[in-house]
Amino acid sequence: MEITIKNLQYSYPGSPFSLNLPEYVFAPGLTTLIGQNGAGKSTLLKAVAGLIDFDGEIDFDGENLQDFLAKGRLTKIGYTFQDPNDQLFNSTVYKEVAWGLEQLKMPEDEVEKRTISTLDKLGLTEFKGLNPYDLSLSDKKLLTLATVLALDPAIYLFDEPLMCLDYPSRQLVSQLFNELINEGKTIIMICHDMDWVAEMGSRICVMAGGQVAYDGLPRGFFENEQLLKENGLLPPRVYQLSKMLNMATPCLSLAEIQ
Amino acid sequence: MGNHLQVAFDQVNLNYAGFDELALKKLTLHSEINKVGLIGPSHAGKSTLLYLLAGVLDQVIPTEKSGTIALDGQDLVNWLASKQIGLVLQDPASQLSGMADTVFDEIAFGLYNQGLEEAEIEKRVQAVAQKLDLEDFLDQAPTALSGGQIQRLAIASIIALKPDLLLLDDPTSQMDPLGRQHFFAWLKESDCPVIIASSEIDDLAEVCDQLWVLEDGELQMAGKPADIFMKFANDQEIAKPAAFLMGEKMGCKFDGHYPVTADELMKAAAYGNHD
Repeated sequence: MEITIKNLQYSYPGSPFSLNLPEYVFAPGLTTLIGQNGAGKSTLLKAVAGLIDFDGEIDFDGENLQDFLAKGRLTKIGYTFQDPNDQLFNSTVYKEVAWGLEQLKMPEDEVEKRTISTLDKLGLTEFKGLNPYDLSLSDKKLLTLATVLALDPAIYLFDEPLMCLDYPSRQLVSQLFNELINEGKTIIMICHDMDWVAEMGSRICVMAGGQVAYDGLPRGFFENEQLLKENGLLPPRVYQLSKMLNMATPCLSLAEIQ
Repeated sequence: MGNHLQVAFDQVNLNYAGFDELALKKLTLHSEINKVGLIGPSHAGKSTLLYLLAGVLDQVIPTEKSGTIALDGQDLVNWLASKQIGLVLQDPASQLSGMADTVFDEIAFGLYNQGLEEAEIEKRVQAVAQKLDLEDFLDQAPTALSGGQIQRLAIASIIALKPDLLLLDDPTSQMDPLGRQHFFAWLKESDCPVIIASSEIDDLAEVCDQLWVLEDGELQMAGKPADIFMKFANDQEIAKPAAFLMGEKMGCKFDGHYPVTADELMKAAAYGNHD
């Protein structure tokens, strides 16, 4: 599904910040939003999810946001917040995942089947009886992913899904994202881990001061020292080390090292 | 190089009330704390160990524990009674006072509670704001900050208190790359003893003189970063620094081990031993 943004504007009361996107198209596949804290990444994500009242237009395959969401938000857009505490409210981990499915009036056995398989996929089965508030922050992050994955929406919006995850969980999430990409889903996520961004190799959208400063593949951005500096970002660690080693073509990720 | 602190854990077992499983199992370690990195997968007991040292277990979260913990030869409870400990939580928003209208007041909150003079408070707030890139936000409301900015604010509020031991639980998880770089550069120069749990393995390898590896509540190993990464080279649960993985792929070692810092990688590539 294609998401088309036109003349998007938003500002917070009492803050000098304003989001300003004259035109932008999110194509199916993964687009990663990167940029400094306060660049407008989360605000853009919230606008696409219809969580803030913006000026301008956001269309989904030609249909405007309100009409699109009116057909049932849960199966259209899966959104996870930066702070998982903002969205967990059920009394058990199991109920948290089942909740969305129940809202869709799915048959009970289907709810159970999907809930169990999703918890299993994210390694959360052993916590299914626990209150989400008793989970560690990383398990809460995984649980928020489970709640949206179970619903299988057309569009995924993830605000820092890798935050607080340990190494094995990050590998797992990377694999899940690759599956979503292969299924043709439209995924927009925010990420501060430049090595991860380079490894995924998908399109990046660099934001600064509420605007898009670069749009394209990672190498074009990370090789451009001027752009990096202007946007207050650093290249991946592997790239920094490759440059220090005077490699003819510095590697962006480990996979590129011979 | 800075102040060191002796820590002695002896046979420490700990479980949270209502949970049978031990969160820490027979933890025994005698060590010097300068810059300690705490690593290991989720549920390893990293946060628990930090809470335990900070004295918040029992007081805030009910637990059962056995064994002894001493800092500089003093029982932990006695040490805490006369010293200042600084704990930065994994979820930074949860530790802000919620009573401050501005970032300045939030940083100053703990200092007012310590009864410091106005001029000293002003001085300390400005100094930590500068260290953590918060100068431009001092007049803003904490609620208007982004996740990474709130994280820097939580750290600033704690280090303004000049703690005798700083405990940091994944303090950079929401920071942008430059913010993280500035923070670790500050940490490297800081003369306060630190224990930091973090998944930023490259930064830990650059900053820490020691790593403690926890898995499933048990201490697997404590030692120099290079020794740790060589020992856990094939352990998929433990992340390795990029320098280490590059050294491994390029087949070059430094001083008998794969490099763990940028400096070691340069040396290993230039005149180290090749596999």
